[in-house]
Amino acid sequence: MSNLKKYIQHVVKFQKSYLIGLAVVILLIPIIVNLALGKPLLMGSESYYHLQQTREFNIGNFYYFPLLLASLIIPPDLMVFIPFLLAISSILLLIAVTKESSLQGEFIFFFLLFMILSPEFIHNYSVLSANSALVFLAVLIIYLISRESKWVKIMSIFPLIAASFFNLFSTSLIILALAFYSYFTKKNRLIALILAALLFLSGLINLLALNQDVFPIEFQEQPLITGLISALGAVGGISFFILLLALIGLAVTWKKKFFWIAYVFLLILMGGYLFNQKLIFLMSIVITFLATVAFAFLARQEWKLPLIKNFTLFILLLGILFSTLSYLNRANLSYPLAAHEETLQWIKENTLPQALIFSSPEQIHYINYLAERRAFHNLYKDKEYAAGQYQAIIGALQLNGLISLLDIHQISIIYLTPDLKSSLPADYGLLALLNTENFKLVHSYQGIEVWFYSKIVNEEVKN
Amino acid sequence: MELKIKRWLIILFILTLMARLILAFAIPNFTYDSYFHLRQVEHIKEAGFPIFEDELSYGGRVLRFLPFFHYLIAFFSFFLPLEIAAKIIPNLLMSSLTIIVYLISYKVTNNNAASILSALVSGFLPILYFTNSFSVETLFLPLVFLAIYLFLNLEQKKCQYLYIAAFLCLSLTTPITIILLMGFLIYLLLSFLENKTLARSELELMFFSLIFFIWVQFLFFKEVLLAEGIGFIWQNIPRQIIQQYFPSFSIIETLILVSIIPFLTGIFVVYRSLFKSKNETALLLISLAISTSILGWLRLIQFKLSLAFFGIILSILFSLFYDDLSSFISRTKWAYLKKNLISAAALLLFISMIFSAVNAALNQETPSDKDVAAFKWIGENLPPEAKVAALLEEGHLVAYYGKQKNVMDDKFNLIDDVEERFVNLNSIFTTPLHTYAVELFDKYGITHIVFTERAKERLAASNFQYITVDCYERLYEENVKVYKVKCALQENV
Repeated sequence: MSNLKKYIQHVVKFQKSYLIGLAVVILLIPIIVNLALGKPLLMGSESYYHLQQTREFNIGNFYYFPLLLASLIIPPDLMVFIPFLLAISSILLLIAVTKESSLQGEFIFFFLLFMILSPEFIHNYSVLSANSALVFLAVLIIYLISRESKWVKIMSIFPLIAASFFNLFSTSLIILALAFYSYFTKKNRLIALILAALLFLSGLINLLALNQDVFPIEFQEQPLITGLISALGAVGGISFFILLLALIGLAVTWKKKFFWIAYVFLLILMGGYLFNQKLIFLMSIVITFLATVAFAFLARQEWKLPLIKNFTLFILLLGILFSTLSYLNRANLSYPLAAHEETLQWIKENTLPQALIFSSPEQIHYINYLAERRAFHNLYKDKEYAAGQYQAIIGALQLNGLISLLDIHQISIIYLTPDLKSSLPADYGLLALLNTENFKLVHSYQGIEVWFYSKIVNEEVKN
Repeated sequence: MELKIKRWLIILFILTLMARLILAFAIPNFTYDSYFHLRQVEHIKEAGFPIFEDELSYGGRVLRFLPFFHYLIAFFSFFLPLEIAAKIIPNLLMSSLTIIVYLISYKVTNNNAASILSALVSGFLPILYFTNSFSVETLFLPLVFLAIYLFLNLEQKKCQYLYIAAFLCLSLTTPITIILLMGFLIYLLLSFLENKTLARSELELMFFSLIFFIWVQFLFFKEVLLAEGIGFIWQNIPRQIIQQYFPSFSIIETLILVSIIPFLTGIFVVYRSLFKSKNETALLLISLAISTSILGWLRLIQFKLSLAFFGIILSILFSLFYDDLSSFISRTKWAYLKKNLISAAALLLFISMIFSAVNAALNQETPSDKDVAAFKWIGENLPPEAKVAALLEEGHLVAYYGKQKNVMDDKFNLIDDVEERFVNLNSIFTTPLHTYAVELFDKYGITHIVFTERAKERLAASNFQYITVDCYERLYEENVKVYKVKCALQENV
């Protein structure tokens, strides 16, 4: 056991190097896998959404200016290193901030270790994600406020204002965090309150002038429980063992001073998660915090059965690592695949710019950015209406019905991915109707098909 | 343990084993689901690994299951022919329950007579008389009660290590080990409600058990979890047959299968333990009974297994009842009857259970010799690329004896179209329409169809309704009908 303590002390002493090294290795894995498979390095629907926003840069989305600058200098594939750098910077800032806090070195190390190993962390820092930028800005604000120099403290206004452009919910969370910070600190109380007030004002202006969303934009739809636990197939998700530890952490910290802040944030985030699954990343930070409390508690306790203690802690770490490896193992299946890029590139080069493409909702942002075309789901702000019409098209059983829907929405291209095809019946419905004279298969690559719909034949038939 | 008690225990064990083996060998063949496990053991003997990528089941699929039981039997099958080992070892394991139940009962009551009677009950409990079932439950039940016994003796260091070993084996045997963990959870809850402080060693082992179990399940069932999400708990069983696995609760059937005396005495003991005497060990057993009931009600474990587990708990709780009864009689003016009490109780229990136990054994669903012969013939005479349509429960027979691909069997996990496939398989056996049948043959690549005696019984029919000489060649001339499909649907040009 004394050997183990020595190792832990060594690791905590050099935690910066170990944690950064680990983060670099873990975040490089998906990049290397994508490179080896010839896939685009930049993954995820959200990445292409943000890149498309830079293409549609205007006064309404002016806060994309930094990303626009970056996109002018950096090729799209290399943009994957932006969240990578944000991860490293956030870890370094967090270590610097927590060094001066009352939290023990081991606690900070294990908290950051669990965060880095978390599938949700890997997901958010492998794609161009608003969450990665938000967390960086939040940690930067805390770092700047906690410096001695007055001018450095004042500099925190800039990341503060930037943080207010994401969504109202995250702005409210940062205001709450600043309010708690001001409650607990005497030294920086005034500045924290001023910053909270400024942030509130900025958020209000954003709401009124920019019509800012309350919640972040969701890019995938998953059932609540499946979306929470990575082992059940969540896009990111939290390790089941971390959740289990967090439950123990809740029990351990019950009625203890200071920890009620974690409960407040957890309750707010859990409530928010019921409405918007994108909040899972922020929720995972609080859950990981509680899990670290539990892990530290279990490690420090004297067990009646020391062998069982070592074995249990070892299995816990293995379980957390298992979630990480399991998640990395499926990173090679993340979109877009090389076939998507090829097909969308073909569409860009071989179709009219005003063509409207029909495909599954998950493909919207790839279609917008890679093919530079509008997707069916872009047409309507009313998501329920769009979803209804989408279901009507994919569920069409009669040719006339399908044609009239395609005409109404002026769809000229149908982009069929293997996922979409496998969800449709092979013998009837849309897939069967495509084998009629109004439709022509114009391009096919590794299971992805591009079909042109032509109204001309239909009009001839009418005449 | 006194020599006299040891002798009685050995006699009981031998009697139980003899009864089980007689029934096992008197009833030909194994239950339908056993053939899956037989095939796995055979493969382990040949290749050293179970079949996780199965070319025969569903015509080719991925299988995920825990293989400890199969490795254990594979070890014994090096010394005995597989089908003999598959009858002896499971019945030996189930007979060992008499010893384990005795040990637990003695721990609870400190009364030899009561414990022997409990062992007798567990030895002849009707629900446990699946003598021809070569399945994981035959290892799970004795092992879980062994783990419970070791857990009750944690003050001994040897028992701590043995518990860990037993639990490791359980975690690698079946996910149904969740019954034990759920029981621990309920035990914690009940202890909290009773303001009872649990021993630190108990809490630590419970926590370790939970973590280890979850980790092992994630390791083995990773793909299943990813594919089916939280729904994997319900094993992807088609809706149409879920009632078979989780039938509605019938009190009469329960009374017959767990036997009326243990059932009634069990209720009495639960009432006394919860509201009056507050026996700590009984609390754990009651927690386990509640656990199995909840899991059965939630359809997370099959009714049959839930009842088996419940029955064994009742047999242990019977010792508490007998202990109380004999103390009560000692204090009355009929104290002289006490020396005959055990004999009378043993006789009464034996008579009340033996007929139901034998009946339960005889009612096991096993294929007839003629059906087995037909599948063996298929294995020897059909080409390797054949695909055979048989009833759902015969799917494993197609793979084991027939060594051919089947259309469907009862391992439903990771199968996408399980409900559609189930409906279509049924249609093959019930449709009168030749074209529809051929469409289904084309869809699933079926080359041969089998109408067994089992099918005749189940469907109250003597053959497929669409058989014609042009399209179906009869290959097997015995009672069982095996046809080669000669026709296919032609696409219109």
